[in-house]
Amino acid sequence: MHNVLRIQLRKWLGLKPEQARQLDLQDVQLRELSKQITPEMFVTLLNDVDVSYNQSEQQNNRLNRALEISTAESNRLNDSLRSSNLRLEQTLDELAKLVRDLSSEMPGLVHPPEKDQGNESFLLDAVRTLIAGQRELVKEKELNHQLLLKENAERKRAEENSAREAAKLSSMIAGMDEGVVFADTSDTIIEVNEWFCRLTGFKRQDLLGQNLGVLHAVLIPDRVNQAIEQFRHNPASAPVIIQRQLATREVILRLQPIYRQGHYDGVLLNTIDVTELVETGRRAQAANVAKSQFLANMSHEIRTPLNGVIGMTGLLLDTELSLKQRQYAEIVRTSGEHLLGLLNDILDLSKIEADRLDMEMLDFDLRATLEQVAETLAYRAQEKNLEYVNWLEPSVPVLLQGDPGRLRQIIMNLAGNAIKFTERGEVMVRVTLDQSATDSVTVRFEVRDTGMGIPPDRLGSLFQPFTQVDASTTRKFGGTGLGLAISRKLVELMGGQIGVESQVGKGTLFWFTAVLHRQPVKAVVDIEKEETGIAGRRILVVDDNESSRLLLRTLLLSWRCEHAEADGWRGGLEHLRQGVAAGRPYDVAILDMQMPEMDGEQLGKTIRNDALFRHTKLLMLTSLGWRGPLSRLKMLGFSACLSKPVRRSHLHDSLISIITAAENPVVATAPADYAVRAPAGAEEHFKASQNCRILVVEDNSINQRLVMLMLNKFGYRADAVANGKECVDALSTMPYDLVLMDCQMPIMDGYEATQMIRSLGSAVLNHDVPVIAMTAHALKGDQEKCLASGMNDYVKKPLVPQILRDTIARWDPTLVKKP
Amino acid sequence: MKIEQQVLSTFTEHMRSVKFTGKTQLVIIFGSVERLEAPGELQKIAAAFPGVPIVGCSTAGEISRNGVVEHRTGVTVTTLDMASTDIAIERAVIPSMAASAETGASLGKALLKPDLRYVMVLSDGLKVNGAELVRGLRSALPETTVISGGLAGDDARFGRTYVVHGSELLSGQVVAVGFYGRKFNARVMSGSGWVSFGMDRRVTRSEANVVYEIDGQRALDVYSAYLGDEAANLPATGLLYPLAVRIADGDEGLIRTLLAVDREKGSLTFAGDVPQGSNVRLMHANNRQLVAGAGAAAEQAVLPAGVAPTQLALLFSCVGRKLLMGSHTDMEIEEVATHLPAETVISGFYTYGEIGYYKDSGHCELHNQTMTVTSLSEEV
Repeated sequence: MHNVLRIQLRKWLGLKPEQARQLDLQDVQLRELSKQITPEMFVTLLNDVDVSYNQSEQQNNRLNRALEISTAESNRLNDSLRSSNLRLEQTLDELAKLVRDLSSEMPGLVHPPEKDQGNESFLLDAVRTLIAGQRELVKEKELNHQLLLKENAERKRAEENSAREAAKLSSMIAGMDEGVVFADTSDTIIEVNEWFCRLTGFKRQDLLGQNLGVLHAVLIPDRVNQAIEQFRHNPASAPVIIQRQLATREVILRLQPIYRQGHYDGVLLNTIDVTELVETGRRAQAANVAKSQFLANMSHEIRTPLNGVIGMTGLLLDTELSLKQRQYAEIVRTSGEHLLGLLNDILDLSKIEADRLDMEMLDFDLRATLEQVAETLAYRAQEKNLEYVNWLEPSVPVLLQGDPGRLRQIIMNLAGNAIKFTERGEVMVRVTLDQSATDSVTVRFEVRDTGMGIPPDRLGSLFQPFTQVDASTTRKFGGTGLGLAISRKLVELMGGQIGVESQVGKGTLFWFTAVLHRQPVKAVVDIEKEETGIAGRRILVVDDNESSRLLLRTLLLSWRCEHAEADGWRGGLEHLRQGVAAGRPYDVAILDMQMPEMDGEQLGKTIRNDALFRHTKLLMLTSLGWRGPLSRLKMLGFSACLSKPVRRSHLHDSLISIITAAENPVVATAPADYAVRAPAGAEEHFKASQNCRILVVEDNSINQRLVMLMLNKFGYRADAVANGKECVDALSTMPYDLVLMDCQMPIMDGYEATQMIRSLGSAVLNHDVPVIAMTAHALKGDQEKCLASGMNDYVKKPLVPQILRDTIARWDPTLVKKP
Repeated sequence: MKIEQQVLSTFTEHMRSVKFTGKTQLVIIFGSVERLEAPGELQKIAAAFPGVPIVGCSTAGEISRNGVVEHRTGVTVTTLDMASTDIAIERAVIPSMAASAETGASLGKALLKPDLRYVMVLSDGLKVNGAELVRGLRSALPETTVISGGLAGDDARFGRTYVVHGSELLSGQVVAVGFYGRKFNARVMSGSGWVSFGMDRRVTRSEANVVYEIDGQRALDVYSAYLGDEAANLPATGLLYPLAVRIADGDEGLIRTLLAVDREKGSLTFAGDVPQGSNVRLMHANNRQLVAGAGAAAEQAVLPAGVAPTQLALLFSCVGRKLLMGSHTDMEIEEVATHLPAETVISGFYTYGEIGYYKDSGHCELHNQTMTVTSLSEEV
């Protein structure tokens, strides 16, 4: 049974597939089933069968149609093959005919027909004669023919040769990457190549046979005529070269005379496109800019993850760690910072090379700058037990204008090196006035160490990039060897000079000068007024280090204090006794903690135990690394404790509060400086606004986490998105109070996003939401770009928590009091 | 794995509740647009299987062992009760045709977990670029993961299609089920039975699934020349002449069904991408060939000896086949059944596109005009 029928029966009889499968046309069961058939069922079955027939017919038709199409296509293919075959046969026939025609013209090639055999001898003779004559004739003809052939062949070869030569020349000219025009003695153009036509827009056939005059738009007729005139009359003429602009191209026209046996035989005009050359200079300039931009971008790309590493490690170090974990994490941070330094050096150098290093012109306090450097380097000096002394001569004005960041960079580099290469003794930064003018000063900076020194033959190359004293230095001390080269460039940009003096085994002195502008006078007066509270007070300094004493002396004298000093406990006690004996006891004794024989603590105890010295207050100077309990010092009777290197303002404030407290016992005794340092103090007082909701826009997931962690630590609620588009979307649904915006992001960068936020056409809920850029761009102008795009402020990466916090607080709209 | 199936053709029939004993259960439903849209219908089904995840879609005809259900009120409910296999269901909105690949990739990524053996994909049948969806899925999953599925149908109306997740009826979305476990077996094969004829032609201009030029001529003109008298009835007759598409020489080739013609632009719209530069030929088939193609697919989809025999066969077959075979459509389902163990439950639907494989070593692709057979079993 056909499957189709089986299916129809199955449906028709309502059978299961298994039952239907067993159906048989001869089956008794089928006969039994058929008894149940009603007329309606029968009609249904017939309909189904009808559909089958129709479908089968349609499908057959379509199969036929498919076959027809295939057949028609293969017939067409066949036809086209057959017709091309036919054409091929015709061609062959024609060729054969040609061969036949050729041979009939050369009878010797074809045998003559057989003659009748009558009158044999006569005929034979006649035939022989005929044949002989014929042979001669044939021979002659053949000879002629061969000569002709030979001659023809030779002529042909000659023609071919000359044609080949001409073709070779013409193709050579055609293929030349410059314009070529030949003109004969009558200035008629006889050859011109495609290149020339392309350049000038002429057609070849329009130029051939014309007078050179048709090229007046290209050539400068007067100059050309003059040149050709000269060529005609002077066989020794040199080629004439003209440079000019043709449309957008810069070309050189070269007129070369052709001489044959001393006579002028025409002119060759070469046209060379030098546009590229002319533009090369322009491009080189652009390439330099691009290179610098590339480097800035590159450094952004490297800095971003690096900042992430450093920042995350910093956060990690704030958590509870085992000793080992802490060591490892600190190594990660140090390595990261080292790498960042390296990167900055390379970027600086490349910017210097690209002439893209711009100096800023900012108001700054030279003393603060020096103190910042000292603070940064003090740890390192302390680790090696070195004395680090900052000595700013009072004659140097401190309120100046210039680039404090770059100045700091130079001093950091020189002083950092000094610490690196000094094993014992001291590093001193001394600043003196070199020259003074009305609105500017030349300041001399000296960094002196008591280190290993530099051999004389090495001094010369020190300021070259990638040079250190020797290769082993790099291995032992690290660094890129770029610092001095960069410093020299920076010094030059500050209008100064840099130099070095050194004695092996004794120490090294690096010095440089910088021209800095004075700030307007008004500001100077305020500072001076502030520091007059302790004039006339009697202060004793006990310190074994001479440089340190020198510094303190300079400071005390500048405040017009009465001052004495001693290099140890004996001298110190002696001075105190003399003071008491003279009825003028010292107000304050400043004691250095680390002194030989008797240290500051012991000396302090001795002084306090002697009632004679009860009027003298004690101030302790400790090294930065000193970790003893302050409470002990307090117990021993010290009024204050300051860490070295001493900041001018700190010392001043401490002295004032000690003296004031002594005279007004009601006032709290402990001055503000009674802690070694209070870096974390401010943080505890900070209270983030709980209402300020911040949106962080940052594509780098590590940096994103870093910012979020900082914000959480400050107590802010914050959400993060990964690009400008998501930021705009988020601001369209949530009324955030503040946005922290990364600048370089895929899909939509920070500038564009900010423009959209500010645009009243966007769906953002609050177009005035404060936007703070987080910029890692090292190039000047990026910050301006941020502000120009509508951002309110910016913080630089790597993010410094305090700065971030302060900047947010400045713009937090929930903190701003409503009128 | 215990499989139970309920084929409901009228609203008045009662849904049986099923007693589950295994670790993981899943309900798969295939139904007509009318049935799925009926108020409370999906809630009724969900209520019959409290707490059991439900997936499904609308169809151009539901498949069971008894053949195809033609009623527009039909729904088949298949329950899977698995002893050791885990499942994960992911769904995604297809934001645009152009983003179909991303949608596929995100689904694949979400499903990719250890021991993923099989992914069943049910997608909206009209608002998706199926070929791209599959390409995206494939990009996120290892080659060894078996993928099959179908694009939801709407009878032969091409009006609106749905996928089902829980008791939600979703338009413009994809729902995919991942089956995890070392004891789960899956094997998929597609077969068509269509035969190509005539000369190779080259697609000289196309965009996604719209062909503008073949051999430099208007695509519609080329097609009309082929079809002769039947061209007057385009696009209806286009269904009878799908296109064989070979992207590279020596390619196995895909089949694309003609869906629409634009007589003004002279373009042809197919039910799947036809890349520019591919070689195409016209195809024809009759019932016998189609049935043989379905049989060949079933034969190759049978699970190999040594693993548990097929317990559930999912059949995704093209609406085009059904239109061509008409009242004889059951033939191909019967043919498939003859290759499967007698106790295998057969469930599936007529689709707007099948996701499957043409040969063992091939890639998973979007097909038209195939019967795609998926054999599933779970080791005891």
